[in-house]
Amino acid sequence: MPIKRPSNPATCPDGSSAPGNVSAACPAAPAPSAADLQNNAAVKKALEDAYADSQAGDAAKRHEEGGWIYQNVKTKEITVVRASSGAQASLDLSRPPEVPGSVVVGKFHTHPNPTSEGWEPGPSPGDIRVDALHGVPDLIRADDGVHVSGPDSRRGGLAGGPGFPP
Amino acid sequence: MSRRTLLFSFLTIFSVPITESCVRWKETMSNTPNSKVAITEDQAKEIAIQDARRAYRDLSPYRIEARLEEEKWHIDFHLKDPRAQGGGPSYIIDATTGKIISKKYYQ
Repeated sequence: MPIKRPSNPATCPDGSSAPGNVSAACPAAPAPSAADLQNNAAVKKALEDAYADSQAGDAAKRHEEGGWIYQNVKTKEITVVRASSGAQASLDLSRPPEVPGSVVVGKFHTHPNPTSEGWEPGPSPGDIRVDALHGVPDLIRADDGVHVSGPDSRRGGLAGGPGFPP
Repeated sequence: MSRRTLLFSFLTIFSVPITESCVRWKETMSNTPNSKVAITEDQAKEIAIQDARRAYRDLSPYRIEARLEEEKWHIDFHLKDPRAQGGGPSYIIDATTGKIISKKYYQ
């Protein structure tokens, strides 16, 4: 008996063909790693812009800035959306806006308070807790460079909906 | 029953409660304020707040946790909003002198 093959295979969200049931046949495409994101031009610019907007040089006005990093599941294009400004040592990145056709693959925020005044440049225990919960890498721009917190890439790949992974 | 068995039973019956009492007494003593501890929890918090005010413009987003371990106060400022990224100051203060042994300004 000849093997029946679907004449018109279904298409996965990433554009690849998937015979049969799409949800069962489409593998979760891998999400970019923290290193991939750090090397992306749009992300690099967003980090530098956010750090400049943090007013690190002004002790009375310095504050955290940040946002979310998205990847389009078809085109693989990386885009960035900025969040509202935060406070001197905190920021709320818990509600990423939905970007059509894209999923959140990372976050970024700034640590504008200077190491020369005794501030810790890397992730705080609070950052580490929230980043593990959100399930995407978090790039932190401080005065000594970029620190990474959270998983190395989006938990579960590009599957799981537009916001943070389940 | 031999003499030796009787003696062993006697020791087992009476030594176990004595040992347990000693353990309970030790636990009680370790929870009792040590005579060397001169700094109260409120005083330790105040020492931390005074220092934190020099670095943090606003301490109102934080709740303060204090715990005493081996004559040292551990004072940690946590963000009240569980959704927020970020951090607050963290201190270890000598409970006998009130001197700040170490501190970290998290952001």
